[in-house]
Amino acid sequence: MQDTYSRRNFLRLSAALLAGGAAVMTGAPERALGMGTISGRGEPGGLAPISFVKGFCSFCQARCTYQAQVRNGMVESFIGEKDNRWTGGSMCPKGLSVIELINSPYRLTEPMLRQPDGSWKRISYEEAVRITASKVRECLEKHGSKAGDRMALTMPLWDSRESELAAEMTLHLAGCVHMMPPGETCTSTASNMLTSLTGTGNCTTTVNELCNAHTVVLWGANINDLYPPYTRWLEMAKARGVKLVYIDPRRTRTSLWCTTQLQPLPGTDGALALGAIRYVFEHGAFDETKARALITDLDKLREDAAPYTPEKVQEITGVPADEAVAFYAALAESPRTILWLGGALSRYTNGIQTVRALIFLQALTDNIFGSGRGIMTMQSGKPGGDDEFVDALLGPLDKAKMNFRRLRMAMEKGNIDVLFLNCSYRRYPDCDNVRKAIEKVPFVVHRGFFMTEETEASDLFIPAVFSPESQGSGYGNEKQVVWREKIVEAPGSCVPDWQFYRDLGIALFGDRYPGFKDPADLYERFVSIVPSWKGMTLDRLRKSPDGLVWPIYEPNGEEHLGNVFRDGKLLTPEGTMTVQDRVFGRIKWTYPKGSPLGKERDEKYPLVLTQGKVLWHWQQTLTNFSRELAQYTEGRFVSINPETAAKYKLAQGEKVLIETFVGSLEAWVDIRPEIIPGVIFTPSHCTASSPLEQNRSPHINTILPNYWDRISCQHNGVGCALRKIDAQPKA
Amino acid sequence: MSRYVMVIDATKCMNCKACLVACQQRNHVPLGHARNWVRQTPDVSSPLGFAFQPGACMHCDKPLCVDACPTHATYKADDGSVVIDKSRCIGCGSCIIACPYDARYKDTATGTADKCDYCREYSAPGEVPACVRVCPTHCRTFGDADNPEDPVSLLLKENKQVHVVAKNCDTKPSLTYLNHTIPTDWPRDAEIPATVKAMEHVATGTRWLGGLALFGVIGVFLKQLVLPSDREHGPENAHDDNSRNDQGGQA
Repeated sequence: MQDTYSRRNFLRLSAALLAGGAAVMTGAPERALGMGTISGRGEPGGLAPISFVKGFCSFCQARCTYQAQVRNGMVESFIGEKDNRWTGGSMCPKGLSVIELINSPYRLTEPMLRQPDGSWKRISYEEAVRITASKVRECLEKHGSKAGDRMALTMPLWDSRESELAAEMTLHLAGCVHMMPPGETCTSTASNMLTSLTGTGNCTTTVNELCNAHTVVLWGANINDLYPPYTRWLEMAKARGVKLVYIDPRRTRTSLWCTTQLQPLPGTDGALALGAIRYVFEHGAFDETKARALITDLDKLREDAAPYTPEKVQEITGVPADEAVAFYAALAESPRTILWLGGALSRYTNGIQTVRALIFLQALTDNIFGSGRGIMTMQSGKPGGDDEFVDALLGPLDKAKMNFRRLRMAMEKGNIDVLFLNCSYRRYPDCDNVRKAIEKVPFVVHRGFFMTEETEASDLFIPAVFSPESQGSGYGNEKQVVWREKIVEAPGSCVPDWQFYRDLGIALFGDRYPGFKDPADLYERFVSIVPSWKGMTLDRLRKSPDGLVWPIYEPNGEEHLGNVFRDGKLLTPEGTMTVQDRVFGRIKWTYPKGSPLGKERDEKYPLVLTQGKVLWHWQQTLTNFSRELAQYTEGRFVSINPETAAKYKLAQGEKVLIETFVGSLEAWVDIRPEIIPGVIFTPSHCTASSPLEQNRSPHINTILPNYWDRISCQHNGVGCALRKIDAQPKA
Repeated sequence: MSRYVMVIDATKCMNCKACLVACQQRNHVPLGHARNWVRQTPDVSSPLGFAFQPGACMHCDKPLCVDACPTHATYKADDGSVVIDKSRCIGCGSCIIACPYDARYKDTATGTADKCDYCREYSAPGEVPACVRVCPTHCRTFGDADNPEDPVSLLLKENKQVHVVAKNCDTKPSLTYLNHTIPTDWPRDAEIPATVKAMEHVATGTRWLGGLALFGVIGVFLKQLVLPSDREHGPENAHDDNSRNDQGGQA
């Protein structure tokens, strides 16, 4: 070994040591300093570049817009569009879950055909279209002009408004008008009553007007749980001194923002409303000239409301008379009131009369026209023009539409040959028997995402796409139309609804089907034909952060926000509303069918059943498959008041059967003072086919009777009982 | 240099958990872990019977996690945030034990510690963290506390500042609640693992030894500069070396 070392070698070694030390020092704290630098982005060997694509959430009608962060062809996150005037850039967990669902391991991505032995055979998309076309053709050849009444489609279509148009055109050419709106299970009653009495089936004002009101009554409208991004409007209204009154048998997140809450028994809202009308008449708290100009038979309204004294209201609703009177007085004194009708009001068999009473209450108190006045609804906002467009292209098809109640009867009788099952059939009450009716249909096509009860009930499954996987437009509660480009490619053979129904239309009708290249092509054609859309050009839509509010008649016309009755007149043919209705008669309130509160009380089922969405869930067929949301869901619980728990000797966490005369299902007891005694609440979203234990339970509609009013089906208000099945409390 | 902080008006929170889901997605947080939270505490004054308290890493000014990190992977950056340099993290978990707020977890995919970094890695330039952007009630606000025009500065100025502090050690959390929040006594006792404390003594000894060694190296360096070895100066010396080796070989 050398015992000496040269100067040259020594200097070389020193330099190498210094360089090595410097290399080790890189990656020191300085590298992470300073916001706004994104480490590794776009650098060789680092993370791939991010692109941003505009989109919108297609779950609830808040219709949040966002910028999707996309990297390597995958959506990494949604950033709420901060310039969205309706949402302020916020979003909710439900909408965010789409990112996970797109890449869900449970997702089905190839078409499958049911085999005679019940098994599935994977087929190509082209073959799926060919088979569907042959079944429709068979029906057309066999039944001729009546074939259209032997087909039906249950909406919603999954990805865009253009899909609804594409499907409507295909069915129209087949002579079919039976597209079941999802509103039959939520807002149809309110929409129809609004159309009948005011001439518009949507909100009569926009949500920003809440801030201009003196009083806002959220009548069954649980905004914070169902439309979390709209919470900001309650917050802003409250900050401006607007009095927020919430009416709901349960205290919910919406209660956090409200000045007052009344908790009437479920299904008794109509009596509470008639009590208010009576109070207004009694105290002369209205402008009679204006009221008579608006309501043709005002005296009949007075007569119908006369029996509802505060004492009677207390007897029916459970709301103490003094609380009811204080509420009535506040309404009578309020110079500007907006009434927000919750979807729950439409879910009792007496919903039609309740909603009518509420609309008349607004009319009587001069709260129909002008700023800070009006009526809001939930899950509405569909702009007009679809039928106009299809009729213009394909000629009118003058036929009466079925609702699902009639469709079910037709299926039970074997009168339906082809069913396009786009939605969850479990949204309808008595859904086990709905399933049996569907099984009588010779050919059922299901467009979906996962292995659900609907997939099991179908003969052909064709996978659909989530909203970021297709271009297209959508619409929200403010009648705002929004646009989205395709953000990512769909996996496997998943295709958008517009593509499937277009391909089917072309396969069946060739050149007679108005072929279009993509949603942009169809949208532009639509705008060029329908006058109320003239100003809503694709170019404007693409540039807007939150869409355009329909209608805009002129090419560069302005949007109109706020009250829709711009001329100070109702949009009904006569410009007035009438108490004595040709179909629904006078305003006669009765308990909902099957309610244990009324004459139909069955001592075996003494509790009132209510159900509904919880914040973590929206679509029954989709969000049940989200592991992110399942972190927070709590399975099939049943909320009861401590008083109810004591009466039936139930402990927190105990397992019970919720029983109705239709059936029973298992739940765990959640004792909460937020719900009034004698009433239960259980979530609507669970499904037996969910791979996630937290969401797995038979649907609530398996135990609800097939009750309908003339418009919507009933989910709430029937009698039920809780029967203990296990002494072991939930851990 | 900016000084970034998060302030929270807990009274606005309705526990919708949008902030949790948005954070998990933006930062690829594995299910079962979280970089942020909403604490739920019984409160009879609330219509729902609970008070909610959103939270996340407090980005303390005297962070124990930094002291606990044996590799200096965790450090307090000049912009006020407490950051993990994952290339240095050895996944020992000391910082996770040290944090009184349990704001950290071990990422099973990377084997390193992870926590809120204000969405530093996955955000667009200037972007506020995902939890702030997504919140429907805007109860979280993020910004530069040294910029008097930043909304955060205004909120800090106009409201009473409340901090959630560990009982046995004030780590000076920068995350600030406005006016009122409950509970404030939930952080556990701050603690640095005994092994890491022992490492301090080892490190001190090592530093001394290193210093002495450095002196030695410098001495050799100077000696070599002043009195270099003369064996490299000419072919003769080289020959001498070889012949000596050869001689040795023969012996």
